[in-house]
Amino acid sequence: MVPVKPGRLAAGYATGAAVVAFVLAGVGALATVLGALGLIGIAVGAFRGRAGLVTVGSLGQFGAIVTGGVAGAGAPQLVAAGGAVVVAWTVGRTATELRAALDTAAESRRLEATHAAGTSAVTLAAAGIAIAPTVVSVEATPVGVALLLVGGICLTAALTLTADGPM
Amino acid sequence: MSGTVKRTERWRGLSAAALLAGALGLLTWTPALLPVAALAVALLAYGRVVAPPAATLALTRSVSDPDPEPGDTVTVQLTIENVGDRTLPELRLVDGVPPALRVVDGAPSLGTSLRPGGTATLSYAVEAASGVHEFQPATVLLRDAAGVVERRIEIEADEATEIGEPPRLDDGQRLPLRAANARYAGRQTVDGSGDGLTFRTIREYQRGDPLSRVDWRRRARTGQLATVEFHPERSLPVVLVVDTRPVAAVAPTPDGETAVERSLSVAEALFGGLAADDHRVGVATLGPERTWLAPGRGRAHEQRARELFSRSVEQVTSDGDGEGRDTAADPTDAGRGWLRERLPGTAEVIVSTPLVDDAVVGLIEGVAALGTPVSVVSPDPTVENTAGRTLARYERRDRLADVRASGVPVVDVGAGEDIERALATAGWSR
Repeated sequence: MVPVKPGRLAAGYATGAAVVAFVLAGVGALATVLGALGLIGIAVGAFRGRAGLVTVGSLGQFGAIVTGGVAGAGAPQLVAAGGAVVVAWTVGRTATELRAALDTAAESRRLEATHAAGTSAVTLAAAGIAIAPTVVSVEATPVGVALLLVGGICLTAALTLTADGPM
Repeated sequence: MSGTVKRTERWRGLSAAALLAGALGLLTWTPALLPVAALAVALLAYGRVVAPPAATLALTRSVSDPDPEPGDTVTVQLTIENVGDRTLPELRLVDGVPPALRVVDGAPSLGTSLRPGGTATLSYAVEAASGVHEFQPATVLLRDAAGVVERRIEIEADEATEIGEPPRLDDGQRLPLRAANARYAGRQTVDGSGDGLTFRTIREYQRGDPLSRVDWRRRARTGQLATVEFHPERSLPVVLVVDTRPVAAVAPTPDGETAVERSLSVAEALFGGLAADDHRVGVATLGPERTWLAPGRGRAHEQRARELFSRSVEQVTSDGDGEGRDTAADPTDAGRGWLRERLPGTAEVIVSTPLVDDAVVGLIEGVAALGTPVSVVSPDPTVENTAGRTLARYERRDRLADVRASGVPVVDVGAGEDIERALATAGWSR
């Protein structure tokens, strides 16, 4: 077996996901620049074992998605880019953790492959849920939009604030 | 075997991203950003509802040689099996290698995923050290597929939890002892005259001399009464003081033997030699937990000493910080007062220390000042590859010179030198 240091596989996968996000979100000059910087951050962070750099890179790519969206990219494209960023962020940070937690000679390819596949599957499912309402076209009413907005904020807050409750 | 469960908080900030994307989408009239916010919300919902994987694991450990000689390479094999009916997507395992053993090949950690009934095997090699070494429980970290919730457990293997055997003390090394104030009969020939086996002198008969000591041949030949005197042979109480303080746990290379381990090897070798010579040997360690074993003899005593030696190795390497116990109060003291309270008046002291700080010099000089004969065996942990290390070496040499100047003989055991050989060839150098 070729010795692969722990985290290398995950770092490669994270970089690939970041490339996908960069390509999808790169609409317009600003989005391309932000996406490129984010891509570099994720790649360097994941391979060098800097979790902070991975997070900053992901933030850069998120900025690219937002600017890309404002510049006129479509919803499916943006959701796919967002999913790719989440995968890059999650798997990239796992790569840095494995690098720190396991010995350099340790075998962890199976874990990394499962983690990359699992995270991709979860994100794909979430993206499917997110994109579903755009496929079903309903005439928007102001009251409906307002209710949806309040509901969305409440749901987000509830998921965040109660996350560290008893299990 | 439930362990502790916690959220890894790795998606911290995702909710902020969701709100930000939604708000920007509304402000800039970009409906395409709203699904991005919905994606983040959906992921947060996943993080809320996902359950931590169940710890359905069985661990088996096997070692290639349960009773290795020190220095032998022992292969440890660890097999972990998922005995549950759910897949464990993310499993990290770190074996509890005994702190005093060095891993020389492979790695004692593993990352894998296990299907129901699946097994993973981890194999690594350690270099055996003297003494009994107990494996700690292996630490296992289980996470869901995306790694947002984790369970941490410690699993004890059902077999092979120990490696090695207690150090042998019977074929140890001897050092010339210095003491003359011995009181009990033994094998050490001391200066003076009295009972014994080695002829010393013949003197004039004095009233009260035992009849068995009268030289009757001389009486027959010359008609004078004379008494034969022998060199008395005595057993000495000897206390081996071992410097196991964390400050002494230094080694010339990152994976080399620490000075504490070498000091303990010295003490083990000396204990065996002295006990074989019928001396009553005691042990004192100056480590984070000071231990005192009063001089004694016999098998039970040897057993206690043996346990003490192997325990000291474990202790020092596992918690070098000392955790604010006994010694932390006054690091400059190194246990001088503590030792002074316990030393029998007639004991001879052999200190085994790398001499890496001034506190232990104070201890040696303090004990010598009591009139107790002290000798020092010092394994050298210093090297010369950087300026700082060279300085440390010169400082140690300075300390050695100080100790010698106060009349204490020192055996300096070089970094690569074999301890047994160094002791065997030791002529005390003053």
